[in-house]
Amino acid sequence: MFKSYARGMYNICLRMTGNKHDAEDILQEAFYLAFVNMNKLKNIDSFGAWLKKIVVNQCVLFLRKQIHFVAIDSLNQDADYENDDWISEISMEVINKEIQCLPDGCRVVFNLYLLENYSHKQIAEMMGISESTSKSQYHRAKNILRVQLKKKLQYGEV
Amino acid sequence: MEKFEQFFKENRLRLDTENLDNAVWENISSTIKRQKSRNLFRQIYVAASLLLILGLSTVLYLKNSATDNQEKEASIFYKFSPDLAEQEMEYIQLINNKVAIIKKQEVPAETIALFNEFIQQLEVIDKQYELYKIEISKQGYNEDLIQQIIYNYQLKLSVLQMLHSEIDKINRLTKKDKNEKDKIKLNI
Repeated sequence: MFKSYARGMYNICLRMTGNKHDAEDILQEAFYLAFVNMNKLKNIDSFGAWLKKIVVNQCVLFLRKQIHFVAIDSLNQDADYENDDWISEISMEVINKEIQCLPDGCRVVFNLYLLENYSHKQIAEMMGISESTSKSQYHRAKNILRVQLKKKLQYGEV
Repeated sequence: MEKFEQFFKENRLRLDTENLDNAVWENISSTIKRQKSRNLFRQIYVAASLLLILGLSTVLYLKNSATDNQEKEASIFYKFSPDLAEQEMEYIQLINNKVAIIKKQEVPAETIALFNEFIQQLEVIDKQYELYKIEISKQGYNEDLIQQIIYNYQLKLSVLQMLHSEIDKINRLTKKDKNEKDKIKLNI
């Protein structure tokens, strides 16, 4: 059962931490933690969601010690996200790698908000930051990622 | 929702492109297996402990039941008055303890005659006790008879106490002169 989730959970760790070494360590800790706490899992059907929560929590615990969020003065509200059809031309491997290359703070917020469906309020509590910091980090992540992916497309590295 | 965000939402699962190294999975797998073995060992340990506790409880229960039955059999008063039987059992216990202590004692062989008087007294007390037992089984609960039986216990206890003191006294006096081979135990 654990093995069937290993790849997905590893990818979460990888996108959250941005490096293979930390992702592997966190994955091992999270799986061990999940295994020793299996008796607390009430419904086996929710195993995947339960395991994912443990994995994300372990990532957050690790990253909270590592990341120092820097204040961002203004948000780039001018970016045209409406005409982003080009993104589907880029492979998922390239997108996945570019997410990992985002700066620490905004990478974590981007992952938690857009990919793991946490609200800015929840992210603020989890990371010990304000809700507005979470929002600004998210916008920053989107802008950086958009620029980087467009460059990849321009240079044909897709 | 913007197209950019929508793309990520719709393709969320396709983003999991990286493969986990086999070595990492093997490491995780062996950790889980080790933990499984520990859990199994713990479960066996708990089960064995429970079995042991259950076994000991059963043995103690059976032993207590046997002791209770022995006490019931030893007590003359039991079928007439459980409260009185309890008092009687205290006397019986004191007497048995004293007898056990005396039986362990050894005295010089040539002094054995000095203890005859005590042994004869104890025999008389025991014979009297047997008579009381017959009498109470015939007459039933009788206040005078009960007092006499209790006095019989007290008498036996004091004779045993005197006998014990005498043994100690003789042993103190003969300690330096006699070696262990010359000593014998009293038959009471």
